[in-house]
Amino acid sequence: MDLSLNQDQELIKGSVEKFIIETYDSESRRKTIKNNLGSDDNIWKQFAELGWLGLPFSEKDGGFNGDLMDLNIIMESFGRGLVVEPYISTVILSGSILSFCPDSAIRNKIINNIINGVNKVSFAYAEPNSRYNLNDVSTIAKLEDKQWVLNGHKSVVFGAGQSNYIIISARTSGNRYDESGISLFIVESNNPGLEIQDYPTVDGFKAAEVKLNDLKISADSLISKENEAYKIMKMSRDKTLVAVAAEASGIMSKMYEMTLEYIKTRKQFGVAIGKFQAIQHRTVEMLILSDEMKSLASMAALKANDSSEGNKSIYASKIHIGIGGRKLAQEAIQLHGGMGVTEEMEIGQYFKRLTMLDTFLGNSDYYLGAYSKIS
Amino acid sequence: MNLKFSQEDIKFKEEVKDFIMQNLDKNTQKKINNGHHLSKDDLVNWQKKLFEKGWMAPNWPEEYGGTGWSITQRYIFDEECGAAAAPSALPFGVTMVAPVIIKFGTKEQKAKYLPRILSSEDWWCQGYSEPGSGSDLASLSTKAEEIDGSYIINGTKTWTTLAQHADMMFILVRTNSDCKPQEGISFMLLDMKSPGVSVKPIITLDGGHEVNMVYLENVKVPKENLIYEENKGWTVAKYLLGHERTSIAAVSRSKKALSKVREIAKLNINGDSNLTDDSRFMDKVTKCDVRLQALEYAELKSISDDVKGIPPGPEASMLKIRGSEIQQEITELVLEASGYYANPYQPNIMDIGNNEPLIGPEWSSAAAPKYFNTRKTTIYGGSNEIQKNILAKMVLEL
Repeated sequence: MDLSLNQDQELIKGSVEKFIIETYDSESRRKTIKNNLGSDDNIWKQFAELGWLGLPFSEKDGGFNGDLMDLNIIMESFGRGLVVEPYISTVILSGSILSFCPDSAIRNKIINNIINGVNKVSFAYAEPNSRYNLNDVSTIAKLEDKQWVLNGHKSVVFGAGQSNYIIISARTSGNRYDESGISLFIVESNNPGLEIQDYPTVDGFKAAEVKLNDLKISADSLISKENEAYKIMKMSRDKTLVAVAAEASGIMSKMYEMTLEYIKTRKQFGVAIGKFQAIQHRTVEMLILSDEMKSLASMAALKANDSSEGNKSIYASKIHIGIGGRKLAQEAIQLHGGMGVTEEMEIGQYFKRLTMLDTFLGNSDYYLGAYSKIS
Repeated sequence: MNLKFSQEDIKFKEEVKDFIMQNLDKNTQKKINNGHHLSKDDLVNWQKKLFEKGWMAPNWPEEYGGTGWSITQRYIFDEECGAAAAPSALPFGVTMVAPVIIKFGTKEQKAKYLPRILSSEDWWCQGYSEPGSGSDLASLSTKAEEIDGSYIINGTKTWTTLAQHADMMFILVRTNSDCKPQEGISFMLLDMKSPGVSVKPIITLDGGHEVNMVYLENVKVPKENLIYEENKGWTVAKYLLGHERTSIAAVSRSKKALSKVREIAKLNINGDSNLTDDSRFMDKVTKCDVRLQALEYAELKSISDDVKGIPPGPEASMLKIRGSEIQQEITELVLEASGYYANPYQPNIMDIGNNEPLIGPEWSSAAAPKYFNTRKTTIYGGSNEIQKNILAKMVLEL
């Protein structure tokens, strides 16, 4: 057992930390959001050049074979820098789906394009009533004249309006909640059968409602085995949760640090408010919550592939985002006082992102239920 | 002591219900029901209806235009307004500065300002906090100097709610610096149209424009706009804060919002099932309800005292603490119920004339911004930390 980073990991950590501090400033981030772009092309290009877009893919697929701890390192820094580029939706979530799918010309081409920074990809899984259940799929795909015809409504698809391709989960057999009978399709986002309603999210990202109106796609657009996509979806979700935990850990440590800085400098009653014991205790609690997040995120990264403990460690990290993360975020705002609720202060931007991470891929209540079931 | 309604009370309840049904604008109601910001018109239109009916000022003595209601009638009115998602009147005029004018004002001040508050001709804002003086309000440094029979005011006020619409501001200013901070403060009324007043928006983290910076540069305030005596402003402010803390509990509004959460929980938003089957979620709703019941009784007690003319004591701080926490908890519940439909940002979706398509259910369209915005309730009106300091000092005598 060794919990220190190896040489390669130290290198990744050094380069991503440097990038966030030197290149990813909040002013240009805010500009990206304000211009409703979802992503800065120049930043994305640098991600490609630095090898981060290829990190989680296998060498066979042209990637760098990074493991979950490597991903944890990148995402923790992305959390600290509050990166709005669709790294999670393209590289991690859609990237995992593609890499778990069997070899095919289209799969390999798109993975290659992700790694090179040429294509962005979104994964459309949620539906208006599906809440957090991946198996709840009402979108239907039927084979007609050697073409797949899809109909349905996919909700809150992150990055869909800025993506070149969209991966869609659709039912090819069975009933609405069946785990079997779900298949995955990939479609170019300019297909006329797609109606993409693009909008900003409350935390500065982009998402879209994606409606499939007799969407016609070729037979080779089916990228999973027919009817057998559920397992791939779940594996991809769980891998993504490892990244989400690391992002939350970065956000929480940053929020703690910003709050500590604030209570040291903000003066009321003639002294820095950090001199008050009540404030000190609350800030110490924030430190503990942040530290717990880091531990849980690391645990998830190390244990994710462990067949008996993997799910538990992943779910634990997600639960802490919704409970510990929420508590920390609320305290951070409260201790910033009126300044905490302004758009101008950075703390609020972190607050919003951390809040929305709880809703991403299932909130703390959802994983409390899932955890209780498996332990 | 009893909580029973008389036959007359029941009749009054029907009257209030009818009044609201006939006069409340449907879009205003929709905005409140779904947590969206109101426009100035939304609020003023409703207040004018209340004025026409003679119901604008339940908290005033009858001789000045108050309703003369019993505690039960006030309770019923609040309940029905809450239940119907009617707006609360803007507090700065009718519930904050007016009681001050009634208690400390001169005959002329009463005659000049009270009728205009009743009729919503004047929109008031509150000039208290300053960039360096938030929780430590007494350290405020906006200065008023007497020159040629007028006060000349210089300084900056912040977090001034809805000052962008305001005609008048009640303001705390420093008139003496050579004494204990509390003893050199005066309470004045300032015309926002005076030369030297400029208002700059502060955008809050939900993207809304509710609060402002107000810059005061050589603003002339006539001496007759001083309330009570020079350097006695702290006494006036303390009187007002007690009233603010009582009204800040927002019980009827929270009751409505929580019953809305229960309605939402009954919808099929989780496949074919709903959140009422989810005890994890429902227990949170019920825990919130328990605290709200306790708060309701405490608020009734304070209204009962108010009707008897007993001024609010330090216990009012408890109402503020719990009331603000409960408001926040309810926004968390709506946020949780929204699931991933909390993500779309559509702040203007309920404005008249807006043709954007609604994403997700109506009730979730402001769930996240409302949660973000409501963080303010434990910060404003004297932060909850300050309220706890007051309780520790005044009640615990520590």
